[in-house]
Amino acid sequence: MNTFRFECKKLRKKKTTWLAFFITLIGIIGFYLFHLSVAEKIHQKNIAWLDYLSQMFASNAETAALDKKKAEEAGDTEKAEEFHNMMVSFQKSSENAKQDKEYFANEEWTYLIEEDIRSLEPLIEDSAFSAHYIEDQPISMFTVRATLEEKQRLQKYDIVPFIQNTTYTNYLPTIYDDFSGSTLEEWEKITERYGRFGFYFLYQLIQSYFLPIIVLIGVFLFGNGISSESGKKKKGLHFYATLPFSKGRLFFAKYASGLLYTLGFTFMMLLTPIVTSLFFKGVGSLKYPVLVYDGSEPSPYGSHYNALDPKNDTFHFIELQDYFLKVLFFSIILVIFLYSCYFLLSLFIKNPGINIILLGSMTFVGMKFFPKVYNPFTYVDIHKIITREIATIQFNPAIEYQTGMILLFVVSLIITFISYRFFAHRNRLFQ
Amino acid sequence: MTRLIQFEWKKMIRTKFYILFLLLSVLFVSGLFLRNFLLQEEIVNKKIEKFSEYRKDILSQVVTYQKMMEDFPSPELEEKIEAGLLVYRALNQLIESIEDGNWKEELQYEIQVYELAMDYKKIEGQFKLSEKDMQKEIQLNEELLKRGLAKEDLDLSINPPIFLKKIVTFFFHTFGFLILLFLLTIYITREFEEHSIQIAFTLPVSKSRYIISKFLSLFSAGFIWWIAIFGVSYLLTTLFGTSQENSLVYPLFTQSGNFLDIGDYLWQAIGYSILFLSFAISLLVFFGFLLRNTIVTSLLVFVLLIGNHLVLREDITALFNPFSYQQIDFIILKEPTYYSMGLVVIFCATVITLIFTILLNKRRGI
Amino acid sequence: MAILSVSNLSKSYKKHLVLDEIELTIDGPGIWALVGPNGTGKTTFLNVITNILPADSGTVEMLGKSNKDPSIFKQVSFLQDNSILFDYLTGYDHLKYVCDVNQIPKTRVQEVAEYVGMENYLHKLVGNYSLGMKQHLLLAMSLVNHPKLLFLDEPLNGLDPTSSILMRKILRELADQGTTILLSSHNLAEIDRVTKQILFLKDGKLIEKDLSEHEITFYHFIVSNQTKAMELLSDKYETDNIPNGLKVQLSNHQLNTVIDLFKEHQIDIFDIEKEVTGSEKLYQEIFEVGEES
Repeated sequence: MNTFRFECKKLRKKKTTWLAFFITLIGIIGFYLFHLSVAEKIHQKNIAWLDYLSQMFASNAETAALDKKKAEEAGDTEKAEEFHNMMVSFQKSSENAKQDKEYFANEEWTYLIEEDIRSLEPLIEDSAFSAHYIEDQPISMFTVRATLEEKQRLQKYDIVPFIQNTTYTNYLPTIYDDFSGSTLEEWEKITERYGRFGFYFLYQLIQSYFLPIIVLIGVFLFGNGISSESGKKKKGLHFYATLPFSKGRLFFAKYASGLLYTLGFTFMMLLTPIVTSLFFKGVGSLKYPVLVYDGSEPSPYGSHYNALDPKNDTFHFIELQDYFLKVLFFSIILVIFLYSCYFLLSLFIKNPGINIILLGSMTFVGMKFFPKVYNPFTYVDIHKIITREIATIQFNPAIEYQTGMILLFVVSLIITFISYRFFAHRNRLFQ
Repeated sequence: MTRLIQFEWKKMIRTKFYILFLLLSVLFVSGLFLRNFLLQEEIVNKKIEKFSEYRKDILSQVVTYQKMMEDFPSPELEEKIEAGLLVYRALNQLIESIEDGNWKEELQYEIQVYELAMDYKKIEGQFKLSEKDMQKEIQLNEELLKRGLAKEDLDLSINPPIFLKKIVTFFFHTFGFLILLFLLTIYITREFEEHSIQIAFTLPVSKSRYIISKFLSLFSAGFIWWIAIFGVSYLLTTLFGTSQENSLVYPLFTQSGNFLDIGDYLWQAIGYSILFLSFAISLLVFFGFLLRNTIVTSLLVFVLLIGNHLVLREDITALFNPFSYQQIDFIILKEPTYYSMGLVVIFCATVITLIFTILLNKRRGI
Repeated sequence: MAILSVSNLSKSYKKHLVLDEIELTIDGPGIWALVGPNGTGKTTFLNVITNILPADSGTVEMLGKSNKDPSIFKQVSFLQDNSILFDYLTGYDHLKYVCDVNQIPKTRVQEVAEYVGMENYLHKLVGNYSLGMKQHLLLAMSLVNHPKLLFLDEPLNGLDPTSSILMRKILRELADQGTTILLSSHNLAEIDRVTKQILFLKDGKLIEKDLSEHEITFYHFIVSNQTKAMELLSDKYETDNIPNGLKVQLSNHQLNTVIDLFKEHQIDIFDIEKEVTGSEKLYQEIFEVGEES
């Protein structure tokens, strides 16, 4: 315990620890502010667009009124009526756009959500009615269903939505969409979400691999306990060599102190966007619905024929608080896992830069390219595990949260044991 | 100065990491080339598969219309069937020309397919591609025919300039630069951490000369990495790749929908990558000498580059922000007009960073 | 029970044999000096006997226990080089930790800091310490546990004359109180002042010598007529001119003869100073080093 406390003190007293801590902190706060400014810009752009629409329709209505007058003067009643109808329609559109603009400007989301629901409901009720299109390509039925239910939940709990780059329906993008070319670009543009509140921003950060990046920075800072003291010029380990306790205890003191600090660092960084948001837009609702895929039936003719079924595949929503709870537990395991890997690497290679390049590459390559049940790196993209996105795409329901937790923990234990044996062997603990 | 740089190089070679990194990069390029080389047949298969899919789609629509025609005949349906069949036939010819390896016919038939498909869509027929995409493809194919060039698969090609473009997108972006910088950081900071910098500070060399020599040696390390990557790519594609005459005028779409010759693209990529390398290394030298700690320097460089990467992801670029040039493929295709001024910006940023490094360290002790 | 017993101890780096079947037994308190040119393996020897480095073969026992038992360090200390210190901690942090792991009350920190004379900078960061201050801290750390056996690797490195005197005083005091001390050093003049028991490390073997058997005594005379005195002595004794006087190699009984001789020739003696050496000569003999080298 003394050695553990001493190791903690060493980490705490290193100026570089604090400097690195503040650099990361400032980085996250800076990113939040940038993200917030982009969100506000898009929000203002949406308002300006609606304003433009309203004015354009109003001017069209005026033109139609003039044309109507001209037709009336010419005695062409048929034309006059046609222009009258156009005028009324333009006036209505202008009013609608004006109204929407007001809703956007005053952030009266309830009405806007209601409008979305009104436009989505008929698509569900009559599937022959086909779907909405983006340019020429249809939006999948699954997306429409999921979006509708999301909106209904937002309405039910009076939740403020994310900002999106469109004044029409704010779709929830799903893996069931299959767009290509410029349509895909357009779809990505209008479904990209911008959270201005702390919880929302964090939710988005987690989708952008924030967790593994932060944990990797954490282990980079705190995982060099042994390697930094076993160099030719820094022989900190020799200091312990002539103290009256077993060197096995030294291993665990060093391992545990670094681990504790990495954990603390990770949690602080997870809290940063939330705390920062308190000074700006607030934290947002923890009831925000998070889409979870229920998966698709695999084809009886073999995996080659597997295909998602946008009409019949089911889904459900969990609340953001449940999502965060899962992320929180998972981050503990992820810290243990990545920390153990880094610790083992650092026993062999004393250059922290090389170690972090190796571990970072391993993590991202393992996560992106080999989505298998027994590949621990599959679970690093925790968002896609909680939402069962990977399980659904891979038609493998075994890729799930609990499996990931157990697998990562077991692998961490094995790696830690290997590190211990290696350390023990190098320090001749078993002679 | 030369001797200082020689000494720095000796240190780098002795620690082996740099050499290993160089080897790994070369291996990676070779691996990528080998993959493309082995997948050459796949390019044809991919094309055939894609157009067969369209053909299947059209056919099933035509069959449905024909069935509907039997029950409720109408001139609209007849028109649709006719238009659909035209697309179908054109697709057949296109697939044949691909199988025959006749690239000119392939381009012409592809244009024909899209034109017919657009007509078909006008009468409410369905076709997978959007009109915008088809227009773009027609534009490209016409340009290729005009320039007498076959269409290349930008991902799998082993044509020298196209493969070099792939290498640019693969290595010369935020993460590629970050890996190189992470590796080089230690050559500055470790000397402070282990106090061996004292040797340098007691030599009859001014601090500014020392800083410059450090920069030059690290830059030359980065430059050799650059040469290795480009050199191996060029060598492999020239020796074992396919080549077309005039392949340097192969047209690439810029983000605004205009054409940029791949030769110009590569020219810009060469200029940007070398200069951005120098800027990135000057930044490393600046933070390395300022913070004198491996972990903090790496972290700060990481935060800076990733921060700017996130800004670029929002499509925000600025001519006078040197960090806008860290995604080389992106900046060339988004802002092809930035080029000469962009080089001046990066060069000035490098010089200013170095001047700041020298000024900050002039009065500072060890 | 031997305090330190080394038997058949060998250690090599790649093909270079550094320690070759070394045998050493130290039975009682006192100071032993480990001497040898740079690179002969003095630090390796100390590291191997304290189990910091593994031995290729052989056994080491300290106070009846194997060197592989970490509990021996409750009674054994090793003053290593200053690369083991943590720059970003204070001297106090280091000492307190050593107290903690030895289960010694914290009051010992102040005690030992005062003893080695480092109380003024105890709470400063080690990164700001001078070489000598670091040596003081290392010494303090090795004294925290009242060691019965103390190893010191180059303890006199970087010390100013005051600190050297203090260090010698402390070592003598410890030896008087019953501590066995084994120190390595290059500084033969300093060694002469602390111990007569020398272990020369040559070609991987230890050569044990008692310096008192090889002691050479010089007397420095300051006299009224140096030229005449030189004439009188140079034929009979080894004599050298030194600034303001003469340096003559004499045994104790020869001293009286010389004093009488000066009286006889009416040469006044203003001052006599005794200088005892031996290690250097012995060193030259053992390592076959000539004066000119």
